[in-house]
Amino acid sequence: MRTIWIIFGKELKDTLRDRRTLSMMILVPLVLVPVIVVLVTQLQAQLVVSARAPLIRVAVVNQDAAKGLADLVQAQDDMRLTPGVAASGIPALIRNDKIDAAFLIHPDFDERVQRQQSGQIEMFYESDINVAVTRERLREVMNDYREQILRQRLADQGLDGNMVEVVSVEERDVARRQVILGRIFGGILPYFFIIFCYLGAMYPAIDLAAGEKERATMETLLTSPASRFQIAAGKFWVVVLCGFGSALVSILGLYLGFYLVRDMPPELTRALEEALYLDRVAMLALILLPLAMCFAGLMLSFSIFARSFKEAQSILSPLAIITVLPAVVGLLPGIELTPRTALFPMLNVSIAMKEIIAGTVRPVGLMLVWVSLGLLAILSLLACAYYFRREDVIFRS
Amino acid sequence: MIVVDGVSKTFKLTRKQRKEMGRQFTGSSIDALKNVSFTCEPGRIFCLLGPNGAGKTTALRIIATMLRPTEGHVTVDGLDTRRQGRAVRRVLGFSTGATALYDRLTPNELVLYYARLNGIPDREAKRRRDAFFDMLDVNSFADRRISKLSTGMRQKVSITRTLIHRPSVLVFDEATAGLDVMAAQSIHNLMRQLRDEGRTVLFSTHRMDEVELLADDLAILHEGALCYRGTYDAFHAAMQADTLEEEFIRVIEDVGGPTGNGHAVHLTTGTEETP
Repeated sequence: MRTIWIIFGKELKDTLRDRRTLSMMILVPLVLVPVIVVLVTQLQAQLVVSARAPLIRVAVVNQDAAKGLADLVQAQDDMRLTPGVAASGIPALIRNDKIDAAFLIHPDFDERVQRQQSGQIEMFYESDINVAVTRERLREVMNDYREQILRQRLADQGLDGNMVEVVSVEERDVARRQVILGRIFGGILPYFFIIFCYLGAMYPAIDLAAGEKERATMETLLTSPASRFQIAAGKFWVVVLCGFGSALVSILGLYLGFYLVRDMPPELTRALEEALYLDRVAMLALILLPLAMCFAGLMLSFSIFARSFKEAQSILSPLAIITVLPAVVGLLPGIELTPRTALFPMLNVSIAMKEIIAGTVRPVGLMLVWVSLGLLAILSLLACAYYFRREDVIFRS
Repeated sequence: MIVVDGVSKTFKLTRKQRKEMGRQFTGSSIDALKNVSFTCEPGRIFCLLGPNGAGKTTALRIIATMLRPTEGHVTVDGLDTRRQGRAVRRVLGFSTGATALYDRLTPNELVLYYARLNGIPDREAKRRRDAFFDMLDVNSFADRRISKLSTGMRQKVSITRTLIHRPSVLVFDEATAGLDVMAAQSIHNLMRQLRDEGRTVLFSTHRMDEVELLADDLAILHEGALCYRGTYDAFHAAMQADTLEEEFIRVIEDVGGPTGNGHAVHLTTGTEETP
């Protein structure tokens, strides 16, 4: 154990003096994550605002023929009545973006309504990407107006206006807030952690195995009393620490990013704060540690097999995509932490992280993920030690 | 003492390596060492001489427990390299010509690291390190990063690293390769000093001048097989050629020619290489 500790100490010192490793491990997550957070939250805030109240400019032509419609439009928070529009000019005004929609009331509308007949109104709008939202809201206004007239007719007959409402439906969203948050952030944040865990571990893994082979320092180390397992284990824990540290720095980057974002809608701020409660971060860390161990074993095995730093780099860079791919499946709707998914490497990490952030993770599921990752981590360490013992690998040139 | 007894080493070749060997080569493996036996006595300098690719490095790596022999046994100070690898490495100092050192460490840190790996307590390790640094005049750059040091400075650090655990057996693999005359001379002096202290010194080279300067005992290795084994004096006395170089070529030609696979044998005199 003492020998592993000695090797660990030296390799850590050596690694922390490597600018490339340091920048990948600390600088990149600490700079890149806040930048991404600022951009994403700003964009999300913009979307929230634009989805909430895109103002629709509406013209009501012949408004005298339909009493109350113009007032109804005027009363809408998200509509602005545009006066002075002639019937013939409606299509051109919409196409030229002067107005968004128009109601054209037929001259005999009022007269027909008075006769208990059906009055006619034409609704103009332009089909574009927002057509569904515009049309839906115009229809809502029209439904309200229709109901207003109907109630008046019933009242004229001495009947209760409520009798037209056969079914009263009140919509209530019962989804807990943390579940919604989990869906929003849980899908994105695990990628930060997984990717930075991988990137943080990659350069030390390459440097400590392939790099050392290339620089011929491995030979002198092999002639020391340290066993191959001790050498592999000392290096392994340094790579684990770098991967784990990098992921933690990316979490720190998230805090920094949220701190830097100005004018964030309050509901978004609350959501992000809740997603990064300390207990959740602690649980994330407990997932990230065995993940970093898996990465370390895997990377060191490939790295010691490579002939050179460059070859190791060319193996490990594309491997990042293959490794992260299963985590993408965790994003799909309906994928939850079940005994089956909890045993599937990477997928289990992304789902577990998603549920931790959402605050919906169940202890049994989490335990299964830990057991699965722990076993994989031990296997990866043994694989790494096995490759360090093989002559044809360690002296492969 | 090093006893190499009937050691053979076979390397399996990958498809790429077989391709690189050329069309004439039809096998799937290569015999780097073929039934090699020799003994290095304490208080003597043993020289393993041979052209590039003769199997010198493979032999030294087997002695240093980095490789396992396919056949045969090696003992170092009575310790079996297969079964007592760690104990062997505790009594062995190994140095290569590449002076491979960790660039991001300082000489102080590097030497302490190897001392700790050899189980030397820190206080004692520092005492030994300081003594070596005084002797080799390393103190002026002991806290500078190794990447900033010249080849000669690095060589001094490498020597300290090799000797910090006071090994009884020293193995130098082409230790003077790439060094200037001054640095090479300091290595030669060190070998003599270690021999005079009663330690076992084994070095490999392809330079005839080093053999003349240093060797008490000599083994000539060619294409994995020993062509000569004995004292240097006996070799010199029995020389049929006028020079050592010519005699070396004669010896290896006697056992099957200078080339086995079409490569010319390269010998060197001094620092100049002659084909």
